[in-house]
Amino acid sequence: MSLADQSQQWYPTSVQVTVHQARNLRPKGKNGTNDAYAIIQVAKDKFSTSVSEKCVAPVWKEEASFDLPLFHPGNGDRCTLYVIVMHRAQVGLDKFLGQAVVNLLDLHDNKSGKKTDWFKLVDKSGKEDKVRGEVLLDIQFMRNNMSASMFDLSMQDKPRSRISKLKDKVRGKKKDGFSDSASAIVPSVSKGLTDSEGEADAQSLNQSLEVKKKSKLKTLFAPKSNLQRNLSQSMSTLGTLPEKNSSLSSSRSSGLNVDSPEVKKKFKFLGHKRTGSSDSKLSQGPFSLLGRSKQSNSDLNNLCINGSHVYAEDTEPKSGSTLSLNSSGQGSVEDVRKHTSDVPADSSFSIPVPSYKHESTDRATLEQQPHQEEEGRRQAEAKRIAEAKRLEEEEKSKLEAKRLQEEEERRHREEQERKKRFLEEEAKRKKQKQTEEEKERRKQEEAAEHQKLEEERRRAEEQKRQEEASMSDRLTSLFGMIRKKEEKKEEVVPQQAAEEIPKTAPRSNISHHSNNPFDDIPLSSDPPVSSHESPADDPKSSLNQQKEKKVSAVKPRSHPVKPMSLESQAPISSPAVKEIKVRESPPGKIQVAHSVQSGPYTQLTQEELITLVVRQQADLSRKDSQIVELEEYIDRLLVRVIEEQPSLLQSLNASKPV
Amino acid sequence: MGSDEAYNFVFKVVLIGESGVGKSNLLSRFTKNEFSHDSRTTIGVEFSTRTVQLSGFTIKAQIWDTAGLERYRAITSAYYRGAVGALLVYDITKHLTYESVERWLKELYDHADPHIVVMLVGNKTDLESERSVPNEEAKDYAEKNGLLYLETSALESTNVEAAFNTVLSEIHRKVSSKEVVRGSISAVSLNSSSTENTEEKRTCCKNI
Repeated sequence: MSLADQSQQWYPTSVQVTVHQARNLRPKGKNGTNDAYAIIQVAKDKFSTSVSEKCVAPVWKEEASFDLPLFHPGNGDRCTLYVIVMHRAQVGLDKFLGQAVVNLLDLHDNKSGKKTDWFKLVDKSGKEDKVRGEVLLDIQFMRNNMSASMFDLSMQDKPRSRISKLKDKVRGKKKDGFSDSASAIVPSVSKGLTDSEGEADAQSLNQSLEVKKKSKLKTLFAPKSNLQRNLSQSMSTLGTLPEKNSSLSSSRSSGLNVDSPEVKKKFKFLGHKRTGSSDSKLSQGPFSLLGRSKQSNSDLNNLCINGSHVYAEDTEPKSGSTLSLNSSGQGSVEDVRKHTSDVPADSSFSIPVPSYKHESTDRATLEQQPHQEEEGRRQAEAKRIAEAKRLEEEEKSKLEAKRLQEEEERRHREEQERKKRFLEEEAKRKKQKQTEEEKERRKQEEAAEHQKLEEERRRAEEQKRQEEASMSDRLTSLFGMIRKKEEKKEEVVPQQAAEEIPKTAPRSNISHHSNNPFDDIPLSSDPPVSSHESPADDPKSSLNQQKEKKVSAVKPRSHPVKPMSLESQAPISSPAVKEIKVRESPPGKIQVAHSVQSGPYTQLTQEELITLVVRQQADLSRKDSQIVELEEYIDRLLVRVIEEQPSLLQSLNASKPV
Repeated sequence: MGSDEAYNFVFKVVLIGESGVGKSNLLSRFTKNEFSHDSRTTIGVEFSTRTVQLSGFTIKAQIWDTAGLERYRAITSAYYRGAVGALLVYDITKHLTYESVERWLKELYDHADPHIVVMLVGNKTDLESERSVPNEEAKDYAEKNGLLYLETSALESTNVEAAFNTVLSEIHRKVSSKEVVRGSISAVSLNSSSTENTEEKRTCCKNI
């Protein structure tokens, strides 16, 4: 890194961690080998590598990107990288082999933006208890869509002092009006969000929720919001583009809590201290980015660039609003994954930075309209900012600025083009994926529906059967009943047999398909997660994914949480699985019962026999009673004969022998 | 035949015992000197007569046969009524039939005249090899209960005549002596009337 010494002058917005390999691991598996995988974690975001089976020195070469919100010493928790090497146990819990704990802040301070090194594995509490081996990590700090080097280049010529000066100015102004700017920001934020993203909101479900939240916030801060708006307008005048004020004020606020690194440097306690001025500046960020792309005019200057970098930086809810989280344009986990996996080549030119993805997802989700509008605003913003900066610069060194600008412009143009190309590719890919997913989902849904229908049918049949059974027990209209049953059963058998085949077939399809999207992605091969996901989950999960994509288009922040959310989805969707399984089991039972019933018709004949026997018994008893009656009658007759004419009873041929 | 005209007494004798012991064949052997190897279970009630000469008296034996009564029937009392002699038959090869003798005796004494002459008959002596009821055991039992006792074979016609004749002569003896007459017919208490009754009956029988 040629610009390593400048690392202090910028703060990374994200870090890309590549887990190359490990060595000297403690063998926990069979034959002194491990089925090792690594969990890469920063804050709550986790990724897992694939499992490298039966090896002593596993090689993964998988990477994961993490956003680094609030990258400053006061936020050490969120700036610590954990690489946990685990052994995948066949049975029971996976075994902990060791973890590398890397303080990203220190790393960033000590060295350049990119470093590849072996890190020692320590025990769970972070102590070095015994030799656990090492893991080779490549940790690259990045700033939005620019690599550190690019940023540094741009920064090189722009003395920070200028920026800070501007900031001071703005801040000073703000302070006059507003001491507690953090809270003051919120209303304008909410305004801005609703304004600028309103259309987008309409398109995504999840967001509507957030909109609600926002509106709540809005009402909370309603009294202040007016003031704030005024303020922002006044600030916009500062920005020297008064004609676009109205739009600016709203759009600017959508920049939200994004902090420029400079601001951060100046105020370490930005969370609370951030003033309107910083807000205004920050807000410029996101728009300037696009604005530049479309409007790479002469008014663009470094500040703009900074702003654009700033844009994605702060995802922490500094303003106290949860909404603000998402605006930072952090790529979704998925996006990152896709990006890293699908375009490994891209990673070489090293801009797998969320902010694009944010936009690409936007496009993918066809939220271009709001974007265009936003772009317009951004352009305006950019212009305004550029103007402001230029004015400032003009005051000092116009020529220098221009030269720099041109340089910058060129660079930006190039970058922009690259971006565009990338975006297009990404968009295409996304669309393809989406359509694929759509197809899958449809298939799955169909399958699910099919299953449901089958289930219902089966239940109905079972009910019928049960009813019939009870009926037959009653032995009413015996033979007719039995015959009916027979017919029905015969109908059922082929049906079920036929159903069974398609049923299993779509199943397997589902599982296959569902895995596909993840198969593409090495990082996502996260075994624990995928193992949690059962194929049947996929209709749901894919749905969720889509939803999240939509969301991510507007609020990309939701994605980094994705690994977790995926896991959290598992339990949600698992009931469905269970249901399905449960549903499936009754048919199985039915079939068993069925085979017993239908096979040799033993049960039927039994019933038949029983009914017959019962009938015959009834007949017999009736006949018996008749016989008894007859006997009694005969007896009575005999008695009468015996008493009155016994000679009648003399055996017929009695005369012969006598 | 002519015996109808020339008899002094008519004695009603009943055959009792379990089903299949050979009552009907005993009867047919005695009255018709016949034996049926494939005789069926007797249905209903019938009787046969044979006139025998005993001690100068012509005695008409009216022997009633019915199915081995395993249940109470309306005819039971009618069947026993007026009987002066009874042959309680069992199968010497089937001990069960011997065991049920007691029950038959009870029924007999319930419905018949207490002075009725009863002979215990062990039939089927032709099946000596299959004997399950020892001669002595039955003889002892008969002696204890005041029963005549004989073992017969309807098939071989062994002791059939003797059995009937013994019973008839015993009845005649009882009738001849006043006590027998008393006990044989009607009621024990009515001595004179009982004699008359026998007379009447005789005439009655004569009439038939």
